[in-house]
Amino acid sequence: MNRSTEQNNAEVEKTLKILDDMPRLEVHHLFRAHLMQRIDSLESRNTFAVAFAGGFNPRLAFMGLLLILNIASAMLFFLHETPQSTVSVSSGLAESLSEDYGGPALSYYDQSAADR
Amino acid sequence: MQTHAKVRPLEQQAITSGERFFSDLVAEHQEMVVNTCYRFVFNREDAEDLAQEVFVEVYRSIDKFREESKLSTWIYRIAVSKSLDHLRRQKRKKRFSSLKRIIGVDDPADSIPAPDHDNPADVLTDKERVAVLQEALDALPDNQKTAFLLSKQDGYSNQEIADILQTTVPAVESLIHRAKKNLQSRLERHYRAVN
Repeated sequence: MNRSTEQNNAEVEKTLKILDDMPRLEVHHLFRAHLMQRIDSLESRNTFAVAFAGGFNPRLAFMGLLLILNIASAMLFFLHETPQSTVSVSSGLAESLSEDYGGPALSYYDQSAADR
Repeated sequence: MQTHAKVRPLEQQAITSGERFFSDLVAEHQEMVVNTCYRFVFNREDAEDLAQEVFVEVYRSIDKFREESKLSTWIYRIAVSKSLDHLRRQKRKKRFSSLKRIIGVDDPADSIPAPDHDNPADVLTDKERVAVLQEALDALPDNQKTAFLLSKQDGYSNQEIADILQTTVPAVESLIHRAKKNLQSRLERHYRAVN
């Protein structure tokens, strides 16, 4: 019984001694180079993020909005107004022709006379 | 335009001197940081990875450093908290893989042999003993573990440990004493059960 306690104590001591015997590490010679590389890649990623999300400029955003509205209205105009305008031009042309040539001065015969 | 031309080289100078300052800072503290992390994680590669994370954090938040403590203390505090986070992650991973083992799903990572250089498990010949020690350390509360492990490393005085833990020297002494007692009783219990 006593012997096993002694044995256990010895084991405990040996186990705790691991911490005292731990070797002191020499830092890898490329440690700093790797670190700087890592920081550089993080920096470039951050610059990208700031350019697209971080640097919010209300004036720039408003200008962008105006530009989008302009483009959208121009597109609406060209997509929907163009066929209508062709129709209206042709109908206007027909109207003016009928006014020009449909007058009594240019009629060859009187409609009322023909009816008679 | 003229002012821009004047400011640019100044900015450049500030960036270059900032980079030089950081590089000097790394050179000065890298060994202490790597060895501090190594005390906690018992593995060279993990320790170096953690040390890199520590310095990235330092680089990112050096502006927030308020000089309430020494710069070195602040850096070592980051090293300790990163190491404790790593241990917590490892613990969760271990629990998850044992759960998977119970369910019957094998984790391919388990079958990959660990790299065998500079790990205390190999250097100290008795892997089992290291595992027992790690388990006993894992069971300690974070502040006891930190105070005890830092006290075992050359270069940390009790005052410095107190600064890192943001407590007093008597509190650190008490933490170390309690950690030793807890470790002793845990290890005794373990070997009693084994023998």
